[in-house]
Amino acid sequence: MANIDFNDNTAVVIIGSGAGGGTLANELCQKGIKVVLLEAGKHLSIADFVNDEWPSFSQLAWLDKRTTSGNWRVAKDFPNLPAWICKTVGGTTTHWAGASLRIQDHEFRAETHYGKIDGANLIDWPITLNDLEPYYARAEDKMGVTRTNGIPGLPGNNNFKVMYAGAKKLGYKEVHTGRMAINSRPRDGRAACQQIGFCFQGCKSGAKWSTLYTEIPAAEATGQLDLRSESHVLQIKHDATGKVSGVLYADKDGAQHLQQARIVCVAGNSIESPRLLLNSASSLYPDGLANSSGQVGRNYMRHTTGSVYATFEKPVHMYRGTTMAGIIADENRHDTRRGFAGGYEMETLSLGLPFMAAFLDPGSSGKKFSDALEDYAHMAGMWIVGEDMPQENNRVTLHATEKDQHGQPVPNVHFDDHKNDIAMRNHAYQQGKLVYEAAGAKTVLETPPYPSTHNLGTNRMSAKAGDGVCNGFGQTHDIKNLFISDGSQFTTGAAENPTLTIVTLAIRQADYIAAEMNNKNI
Amino acid sequence: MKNEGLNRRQFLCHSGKALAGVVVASSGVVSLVFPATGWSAPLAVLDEHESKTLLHMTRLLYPHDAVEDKFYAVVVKALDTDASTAEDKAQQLKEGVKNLDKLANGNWRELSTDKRNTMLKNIEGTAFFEQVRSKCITGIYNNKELWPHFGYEGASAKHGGYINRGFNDLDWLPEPPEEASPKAR
Repeated sequence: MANIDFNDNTAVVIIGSGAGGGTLANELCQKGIKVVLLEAGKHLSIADFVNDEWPSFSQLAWLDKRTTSGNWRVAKDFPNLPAWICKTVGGTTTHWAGASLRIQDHEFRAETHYGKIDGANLIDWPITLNDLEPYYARAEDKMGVTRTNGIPGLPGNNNFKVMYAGAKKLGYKEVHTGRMAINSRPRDGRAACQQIGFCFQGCKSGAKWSTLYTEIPAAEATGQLDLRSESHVLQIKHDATGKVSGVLYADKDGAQHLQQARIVCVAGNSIESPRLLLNSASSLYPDGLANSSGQVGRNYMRHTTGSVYATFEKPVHMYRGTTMAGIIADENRHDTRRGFAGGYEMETLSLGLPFMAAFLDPGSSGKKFSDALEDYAHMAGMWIVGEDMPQENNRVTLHATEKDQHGQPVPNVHFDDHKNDIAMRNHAYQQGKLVYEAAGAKTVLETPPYPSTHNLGTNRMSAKAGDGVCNGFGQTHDIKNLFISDGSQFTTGAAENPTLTIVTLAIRQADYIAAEMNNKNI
Repeated sequence: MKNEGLNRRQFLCHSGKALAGVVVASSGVVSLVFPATGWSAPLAVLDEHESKTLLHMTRLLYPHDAVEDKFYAVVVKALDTDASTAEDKAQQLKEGVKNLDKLANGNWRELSTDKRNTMLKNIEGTAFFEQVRSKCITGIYNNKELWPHFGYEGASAKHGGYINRGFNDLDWLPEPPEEASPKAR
């Protein structure tokens, strides 16, 4: 591992070690570029992961104070937990479920295809599926996505069997165990899935791709990486010309350090990344870095989600095996006859008993609730993940008075459901119900959205500088050596789980950064 | 803290027998007592009436007929433990119980189940209600001793996952075809 001096201004500094930052670090290191990778969380190993929901949550989740506002139910049920994302080396790739779907061609051109939608701040991505296809292929190969590169699908678990039976009776065509970055057979030095069932708690077999034990060790092996865990970035600094010059961070003891940089890449997920740009405001950039458009923190998207759980006469044991290896893809099309723009996926999902109690219907009590949990072993479940509309006022802002442990303003996450989001969710609830009724359900329960795992859009890509924060390579419009490297650069949300696209964009961005460095443009 | 007498594991390990939980007061100390097990948990803050009321309340909030009282008593004990270090939480519990009795014009516990449920519905969303309700969520459903009752098997990695232990043993629906669900390798 490299040991890069604080005053060394030749390295690329990457903030965050998840899907975006961890991948970008490795891709740059493989090209011989020095990287300082700063991660706020601890450096754990697979052995540290626990198959126990609450202790694992305390171990992995980002629990620094956040506040919420808006009409989304999360603000009522979990006012200080807008998102279920991670603070650990590997970021949320420790927690993610592994679903790896490409964004569809029409979704990259949402404004063109959906037209004007009241209240939605829709634009097209400045890049197309065609631009990304070669990079998607590299990402799928890197991550070992099933049903690509000749890799077989995962075997379906009990929860999938219920989904499949119901979906087929209903006439759905595209139903299978998904494209998953979880090894169905040993690959790339990692084991095959053991059907453990605690995908969200950190994969104990290492079958699920995570930057923690793929990209980061590969980057370290090059000798180019200086990984610093428990290093919480407070501000990005710039020089008199306006270019970024380094980052100020607090180490695990609270001591502050200034790391010089040639290039800074922000990959702290869609709440922390805009928060950091806003917290870096200066006399030259009074509204925060890269914010001449005023779009930093805006257009926060979190996917239109919800879950449908159903109980059956006979046992299911949905929690056994891979959590999300099951998909119905038929509803992911854009077809306004359903009453909304965009589409959604239905994917198998289960929670253990402790989290099922916490999330099934937060705040609820009484016989109906207890009866549902009494039937826990006879329950099947699915998650709805669909495109939500970017809205300017759905945004991450700095709290006026609340400060975190480092004295920095905490982020407030404001979200109002758009009427398109609500129409889509209601449609998906209904279809989910029909799926389970077709499979013989006794009761069907609609579960409201969990704290967000797919946080997107708060530093979005745009063709025009006035419409967003960065260009199609994640390079900010205002500051050419400042990059956005996580899901916050998504222009729109699309229906697909975002990690594959975040990794794809990171690979592409690494090629761009290397070329621009070579050409002395940055 | 005055609750060193609590030995939760010991308390829970006698789950095989059906027992009625009782609250007794003796020499000014109130305890949750299950005589057949020889186990008791002295309470630090709650008096006899308050702890009995909360025991009834927790069972009404999350009724599971086959789950013994003592598992609900664990929730009451946890509420008492929290209250022993936070005066505001202690006050909230005591005032909450008083309020239920006030609504009942007497002893809330002596009302019919329907009437008690109606009154709980009326106080839903109050800080007292949330204090008790949220403690039930972890106290009942995160209690490993109760997981077998719900058919939840807990940690599986240490057993090699479910690859050979029934991840796909559901047999009451047709098997999906191999293109949708390949065989395990």
